Amino acid sequence: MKKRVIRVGIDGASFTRLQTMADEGVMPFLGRLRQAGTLRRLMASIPDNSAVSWSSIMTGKNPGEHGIFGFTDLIPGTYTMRFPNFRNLKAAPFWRLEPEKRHVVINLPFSYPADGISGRMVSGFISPNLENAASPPEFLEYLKARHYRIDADTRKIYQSRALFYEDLMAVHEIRCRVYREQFSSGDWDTFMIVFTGSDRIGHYLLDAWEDPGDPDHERFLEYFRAVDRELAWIMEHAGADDIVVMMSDHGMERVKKEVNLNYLLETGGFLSLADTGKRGYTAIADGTKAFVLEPSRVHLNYTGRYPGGTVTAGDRQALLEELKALFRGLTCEGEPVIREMFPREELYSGPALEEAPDLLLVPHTGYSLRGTLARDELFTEPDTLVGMHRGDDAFLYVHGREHAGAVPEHPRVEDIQSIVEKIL
Amino acid sequence: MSCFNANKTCWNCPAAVFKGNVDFRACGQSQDEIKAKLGDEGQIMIECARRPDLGYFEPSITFEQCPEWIEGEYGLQLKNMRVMILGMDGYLGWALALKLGRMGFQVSGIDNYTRRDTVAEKGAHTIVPIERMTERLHAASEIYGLNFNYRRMDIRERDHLAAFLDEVKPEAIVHYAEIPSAPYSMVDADHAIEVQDNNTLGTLGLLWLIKDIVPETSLIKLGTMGEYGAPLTGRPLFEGMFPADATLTWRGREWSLGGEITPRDPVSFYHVSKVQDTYNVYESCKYWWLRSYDVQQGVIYGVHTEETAKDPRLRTRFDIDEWFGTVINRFVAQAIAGIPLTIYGTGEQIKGFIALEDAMECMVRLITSPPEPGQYDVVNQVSGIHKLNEIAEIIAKVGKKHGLKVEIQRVENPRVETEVHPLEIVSRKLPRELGFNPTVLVEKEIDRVFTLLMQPELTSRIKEKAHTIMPKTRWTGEKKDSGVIEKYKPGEKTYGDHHGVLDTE
Repeated sequence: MKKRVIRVGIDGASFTRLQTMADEGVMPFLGRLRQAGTLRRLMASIPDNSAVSWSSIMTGKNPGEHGIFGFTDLIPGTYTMRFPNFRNLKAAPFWRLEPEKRHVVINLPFSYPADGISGRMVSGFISPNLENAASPPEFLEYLKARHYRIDADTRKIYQSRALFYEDLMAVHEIRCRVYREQFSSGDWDTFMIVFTGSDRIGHYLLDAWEDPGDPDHERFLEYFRAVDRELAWIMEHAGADDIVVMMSDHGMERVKKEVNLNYLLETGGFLSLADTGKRGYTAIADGTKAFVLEPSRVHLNYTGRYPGGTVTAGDRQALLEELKALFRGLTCEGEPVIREMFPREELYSGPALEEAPDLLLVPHTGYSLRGTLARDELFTEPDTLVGMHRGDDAFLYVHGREHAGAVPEHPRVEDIQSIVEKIL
Repeated sequence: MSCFNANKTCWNCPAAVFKGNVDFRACGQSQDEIKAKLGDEGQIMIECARRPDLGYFEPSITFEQCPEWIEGEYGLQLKNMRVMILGMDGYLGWALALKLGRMGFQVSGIDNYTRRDTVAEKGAHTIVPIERMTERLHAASEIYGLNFNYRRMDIRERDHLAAFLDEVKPEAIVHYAEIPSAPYSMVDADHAIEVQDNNTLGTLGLLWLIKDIVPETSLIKLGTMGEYGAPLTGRPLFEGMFPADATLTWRGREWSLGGEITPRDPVSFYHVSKVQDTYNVYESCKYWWLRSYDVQQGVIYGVHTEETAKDPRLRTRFDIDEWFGTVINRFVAQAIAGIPLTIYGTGEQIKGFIALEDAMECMVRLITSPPEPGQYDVVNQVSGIHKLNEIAEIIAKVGKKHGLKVEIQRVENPRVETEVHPLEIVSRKLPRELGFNPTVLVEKEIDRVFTLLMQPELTSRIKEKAHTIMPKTRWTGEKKDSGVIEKYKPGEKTYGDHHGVLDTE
């Protein structure tokens, strides 16, 4: 019998928090499941951004190969911000590596627009519309008939957490109905489902998780109880020979402060913005040496690459040292803000390396690094978004103790595909 | 120096298709139903319908930077821009179609020939003969190599219009498909209802179609200066909305009026239909993020554009009857027919005017400088301001040069309107933001009208229909001639010393 592969994603789920929930009975099935396989802390991509991490998970490649460095980049030769999508992915996702197989992919982030897959697919966030997020057309009709929605309406959070939660659960329930029907059809060789409400609830309700007295604490737990029930359903319906791998793309922690890195560059004399009334990258003015793209990607303003570029290849090393000194010296109430800094060559390799940010920053706990140009202050108090990504606390679970040897001691998101291949 | 629209961006361009509004802090949740910014955190995503290779991006490329926007006669224009003219067979619609076609726009259009039918209903005809549409299209093709995508259609045939909009996907829609006559709307209940049905309901239906089929298109909708009325206080007639620093003071308290729609005081059921349009368009921009210019056009006159003058088969219509002839055009016809120029009431009414050729240039500038999504904008399209009795004097003077002996008469006013009033029109956007400078002096255009209409065959067409010029349609609903109050020779009368103000600075 051929081996089938089941991939289950829980977006934004922390290794640490899952362990706690398993220990405390919020996720009882996970508690039992972890005894039957290997559960490890997983390193997200740097930056710990969903677009980058899921691209690595689906391709098994690092950003220097797949070419996705964040939700945004700039149109070459301009300062106009672009929003890369699945078409810009430079490496093949797992379903293209095995075109002879039938694949079902449900709600995989950063897979919009949907690929012409051998099987069925519906993309996850960011998907501007369902029409281009589903493939083939019959599957779109199937989804429409079930009133499938890609994402909860997060605008509701600005009215009430209760309304937001209600919508989040409604989207979750429809998604579960769809994936269960697809799973039960048996018409697949590989199956992937990603639960993404976990990320939304983390961003907006993480304070409620931390405070048992919070009126929304129970809602937070209830969502993960619901996910736990789905893990149980999947394992109950999986075949004994199926390979089951579960993962998240990043962890989640509380925001202490938002740190506006471009403001730091501006006041430090590295970034100059024209007074056009619009604070965007197109306002970058002469004399700019560096700027930051969300969330923590430092780009040098190279001549020949940007319209107002001033930096040459020869300037690079000295400039990077200057910038590192600036970031190293950044403190908030006496605490250092930046934990690590990586020139791109230390993190990435591959044909897309030249497009990569020159320097990548990793913050200390609680400092949400921001690339916005719209703020005139270095530190901002968190608002509705109380949760932020954490790169070193994603999780990976590989079912079957006999496969433990295939899992590295310190796995990274780009290792997941090779782990599956090794087991196969 | 950069041209007037060089710094407009993708956000103004109808080729930019909205794709989402994303807060990237929370893993990029796309708000696909709203275009409002999420505080300072929302990032608008668009896709260029003309350059899908760019993927999704923020709408910040300027027209000057974009290769799809090329040098044109008046600033930059979108390459092969698709413009649909509703009411293409009319006085303005045909002249605009030819001008746009010659400038490289891809022109489509519809018409249901209401104008031809209603003029015929009056027993009148266009003084400048015009061809049937099939011949007009053939002539445009033969002379200018233009191929207009034209359909005979009523704007209220929504299924047909929907299919045509879907086929063409216009990037701008010029809406001239309204019945443009105050007296016609005052004939009786049937006429009033037909005007409001065609104009208001036709436009309302159009707005729903735009929302569903071409939400990115720029709607350039013809309104009229008559929407504002003529306030006796002399309050300036701003361009649709109060300026930011306007205030209302009452009993020692003060409020800002900035951005609110200014009062409207229409003077006929036709003008009411235009006011209703204003609110319908304004609301649809608010509800659905449509974009529109409401063009409050002054009294239009004249006959000349470069394209219509090129060949007799390309001429646009020219009406002089009491329903559809505008005042200057009627006065010139009266001068040629030997009828005293007929002023309603005191003749001290002040109006804003614009010549056909200037109006067409304004329209091109509006088409090439679209508002932003959700923006309802208003321009007062006026190039000169005159009292009616002064206009009569100018026409008498120009008529004299053409060997005509012209008299003037005042008759009982068939309308209900203020006859002596101040008037201050603010018309700043076209000259200051859209680069428009009027080139047609009123005397010059009147002279061109005389020159054309004094060709013997046209003079005989005027005389044949001279009986349709004098007003019989009264605002009371009665049909009767207006009695003559006085008759006089040009130059022998002293007029009131109040004058209008046109504020273009």
